[in-house]
Formats: sequence, C-alpha cells, structure tokens
Amino acid sequence: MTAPVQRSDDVVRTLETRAREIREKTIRLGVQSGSTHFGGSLSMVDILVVLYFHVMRIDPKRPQWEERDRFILSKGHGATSYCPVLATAGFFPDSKMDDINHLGSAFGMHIDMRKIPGVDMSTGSLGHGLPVAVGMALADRVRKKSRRVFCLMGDAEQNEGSIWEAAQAAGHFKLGRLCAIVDRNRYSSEGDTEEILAIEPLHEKYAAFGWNVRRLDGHSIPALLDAFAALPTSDRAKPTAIVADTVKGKGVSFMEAGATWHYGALSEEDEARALADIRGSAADGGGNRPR
Amino acid sequence: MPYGTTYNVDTLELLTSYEGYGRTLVELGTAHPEVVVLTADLSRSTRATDFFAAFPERAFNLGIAEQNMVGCAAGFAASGLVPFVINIATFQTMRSFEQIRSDFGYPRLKGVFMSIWSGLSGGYVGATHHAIEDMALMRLIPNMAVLAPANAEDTAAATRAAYDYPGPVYIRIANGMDPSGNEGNPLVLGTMATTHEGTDATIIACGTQVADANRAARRLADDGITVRVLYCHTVKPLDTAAVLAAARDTRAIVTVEDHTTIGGLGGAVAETLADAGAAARLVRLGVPDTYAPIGYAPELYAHFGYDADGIVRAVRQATSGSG
Repeated sequence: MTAPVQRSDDVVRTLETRAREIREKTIRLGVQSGSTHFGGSLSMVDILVVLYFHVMRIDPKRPQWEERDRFILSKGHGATSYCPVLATAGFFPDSKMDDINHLGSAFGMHIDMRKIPGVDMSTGSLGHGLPVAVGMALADRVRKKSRRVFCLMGDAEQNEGSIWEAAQAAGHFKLGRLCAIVDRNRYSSEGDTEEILAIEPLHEKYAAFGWNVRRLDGHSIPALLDAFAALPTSDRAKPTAIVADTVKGKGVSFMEAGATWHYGALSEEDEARALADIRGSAADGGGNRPR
Repeated sequence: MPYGTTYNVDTLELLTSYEGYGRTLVELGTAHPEVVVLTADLSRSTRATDFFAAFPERAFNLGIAEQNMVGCAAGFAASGLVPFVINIATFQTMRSFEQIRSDFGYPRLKGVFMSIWSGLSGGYVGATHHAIEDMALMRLIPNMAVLAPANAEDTAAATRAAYDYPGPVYIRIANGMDPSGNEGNPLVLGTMATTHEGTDATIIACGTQVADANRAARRLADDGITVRVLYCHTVKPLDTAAVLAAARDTRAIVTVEDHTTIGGLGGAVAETLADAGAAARLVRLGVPDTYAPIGYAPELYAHFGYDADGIVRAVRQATSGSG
C-alpha cells in the first residue's frame, strides 16, 4: 500500500473525487445515525483522504500489521466521516455500519479499537489522543521501528491541558516521526473558539513547544500532499504540527453558513440538498472557499 | 523501627517493598524486552532507579505531567510494550483517572500502575498526599485488578503476577517500610490467604494492615477469642467465596484497610455480604469519611482506630454481648 507522496494532477483529482465520495457517505451515515457531529466530521475529510489514500503505510487486509503507520483520531466525535474512510480503504465493508448506534453495534458516536478494524486507539474524550500518540512514537523508538504516528485533533480540543503536556513531551523527546494535525474549523459546540477560550496563536504556541509548524488550507489536497511530503524521515527531529484551516460542515452550503452544525439531525429534504451540494462541488475544484 | 526516621537498608532483615518491586522490575526487564518504566519525576522517590540504570532506553521520566504519562503508557501498550507506571498513589489515581479508565480500562490494554504512599502511610505529608480513595477509584474500572500486597516479598510477587495479567493492574504499597505478614505463602491472584485461624471472628485485612491484624489475632487468642485472619492482597477481583465462608464460620467480620471505609476493601466485603444476603456483623475499620490530620503514620492508624490496638477493640466489641 505504500505510495510515495507525490503531487500530480491525477493524484489530486483522484483524491478530490475520493473526498466527495467520503462526504456523501458521511451524510448518509449521519442520517442513519439519526443525529451526529456533521460539522466536524465534514471539515476533516480532505485530511483523512490524503492520509488514508495516499500517505499512510497501511494494509487494510492486515489491520494489526506491525509495520503500519498509526493514526489516532483524538477528536473521536469525527467518527461519522472516519468510519466511512476506513470502510472505503477496505478495512471492512460499508454494510458493517448498517446497525450503527443499535445495541451491540461496533459503531456509535465515538470509536472503539477493539471493535472497529483499522482503529489504532479508542477515543471520544477530548485531550487523550496526543499523549497516546507521543507514547506510540516513543514505543517506536524503543522498538527501532520507522513507523509514523499521525494524530488528528480538533481545534477547541486545544483547550485541554493534557494536549500541552503531550506537546511538551513531543518537543522534548524530539519525536520526528510524530505528526499532529489540528482541524482548525474555528467553531466548538457553542461558538467561535476565539470567543469561548481563545487558542490562537496556535502556530507560535506549537513552535514554542519545540515543534515544526505549518499552517495550510485543510481543504487543499495539493497543500496537504506537500506538507506530508515534507515530513522529516529522521526519528530525532522536531515533531510536526500542521494547523489545517478548514470550514466546519465543508461541502454542504447550509452547514458551512454558520456555527449551527456542530451536531444535529438532517431532514430528508436537507439530506437531498446536502448530497446535491457535495456532488455539485466537483465543479469548484475544491479548496477553501471564503465564508 | 519508628516511622519517619532515616533507615539503613543493610540493617533490615527484610527488604522494603520498594526494593521488592524495584528488583522485580529489573528482573522482568531482563527477561522481557517489552517492559518499559514511566515515572513523573519520581524515579528516585519510587526506587525505580535500578531499572533506570539497567535499561535507560526503556525508562522514561516524563516530568510532572501525569495525564500525558498515562496516555503515553497507553501508546506504549497499544504498540505491544508493557508499561509499568510508577507514581505516588494520590496523583496516579486522581490526576490521571480518566486516562487510566478510558485509555487502559476501556480498551483493556495491559499496563501496571504501581503506587507508593498509599493510604496515610505518608503520614505528615498531609491530605493532598494521602491516598485514601485509590482502591475505590481503581475498583470502579472494569477490567482493572487491584492489589494491596503486605510486604516486600509479596510486592515482588504481585509485580510478577501483574506482568502476566491480561489487562491493567493497580498495585498499592505503603511507604516502603512495610512489615512482614505472609512469609512463605505464595501470592495467588484473586484469592485470600489465611494467616491465622479461628472461629469467633474474621479479620480481613489488606496491605500493611495485615501485620497488625495478625498481631491483634495473637493478642485476642491470649484472651480466649480465636480469630481468622484473611490476607486480602487482591481487592479486585475479590475472593467472594472466602468472604461468605467467613460469614458462615464466624460471628463477625472486621475489615481493616489504610483507606476510606467507603468503596475499598470494606466496601467490597459489604457488597459481597449484602448481595448474598449473608448474616454477619460487619465492622469496617479504616479512615472514616474525612481528611486525616498531620502525624506519623502509626499515630494516624491509632487515631482512626485501625492499628493493632484498634483492631483488638473492634473485634472484642463485635464479638461481645448481642454482637
């Protein structure tokens, strides 16, 4: 499954198509769920797609393959797009998610590593992912493995103190194979992160903790490809933080238009509008549209 | 040997509990390359120094950042390593409780949480450092085993057993100067060891209180009161059969723990008796629902009535008159 990170128009087009496919599946799974975290699930789709369909060394036929790169979804409430990514990558068939939320299902609002093939860590409670990622990177150093560890966090999650404990440790131990990504969609459950408890300047904060920081458009496939291609190969280097500016509810116009779609349910009519929006976005060429 | 004084290891007949696990960690580290040790700037205080010296590439001082340390430990465990996380009991169980619960208990990852200064054993350290809730908190976590060995030998045995246990394990020891209590009996997880036999009452004790329980039983025997002493090194999973047998065989049960009487050993025994509808007088000795004052540990145990004198008093009372 290993593919060198490279940026060609074909690769970009393929990944953009994949992203639309995942967004459609996210809407469908969200509707099936009744209600879900649509906004934050849609904002991180392009990041997941680039990682799972181009960057990460994985083998969906062998979810426990020792040499695989690790991925931790610290914002575990993004399951509504993450699980379709795993299914589409081949870890399990889409139909496995049919019983989502029902008694005994492997699938619910958050993710369980013991039940869902491809999930490297159970998450749900915010602030837990980065410490675990730091431990995985240290474990790779102990075991002399050259795996990468990716950790995707929410932006409001940056309010959690445990994130900064882990950020200190990653910088201190120079975990070059650790890459943290912040899905900077600007809104938490109740509003603008800068009005609730400001997290900026994120770039300067991670830099001060000893990280190499990049800030980019989290919906630009080429920008994401470039950033991942530039990750250090050495174990002992600055860890990388990617602050990915995204739009909450990306791809669905009425979800992008405000902070109201952190969590919710879609009517049948809205579902149709959402799917039409996503399919229509093929003509936009992706990218981060101005709000 | 009075508490709170400087001691010389060479003058002790027995090892301290610190040395019990300290040496065992080196032994495990030698046999198993996947063993790693993590501390929050406490490698010296917890005597993890032997492991740090022997395996520097597998020993991590993660600074005073307990939540990150336990999260990291989960990352190690999810990568096939076996982390031993060593900390002071109160910070171990409370500052990083959710990480232990959600990052270890929930995915049933294998890891060992080794805690020092359990109960009031820190004495004059004060309420911030007294760990009187640790067993109750750890008992709450599904998949977690909770161990309270009585002495150095059993601390070593518990550490070995924890390595083999298929899930997270919590081990509490006191201030390291733990008296003896169970020499010669192998420690079998999930059981209670009978260290004294009798029919008038049963004392169920864990940790360093086992020594006082045995002392109390010998003194009571002089007065014609025969007491069974059960050494409960495994508070979870609890040997419920031993509890119910004690309820059947003796008139009263007295639990003794260096812990709040809520939710720990006494709580577990009370639940077991109530669930079974067993008729027995139960007295729970330990720290009542309060914070402890400053004092040396033996003074605090006497203050709250769970030193040997207090246990004798409690058994006499429980076995006298109407019971």
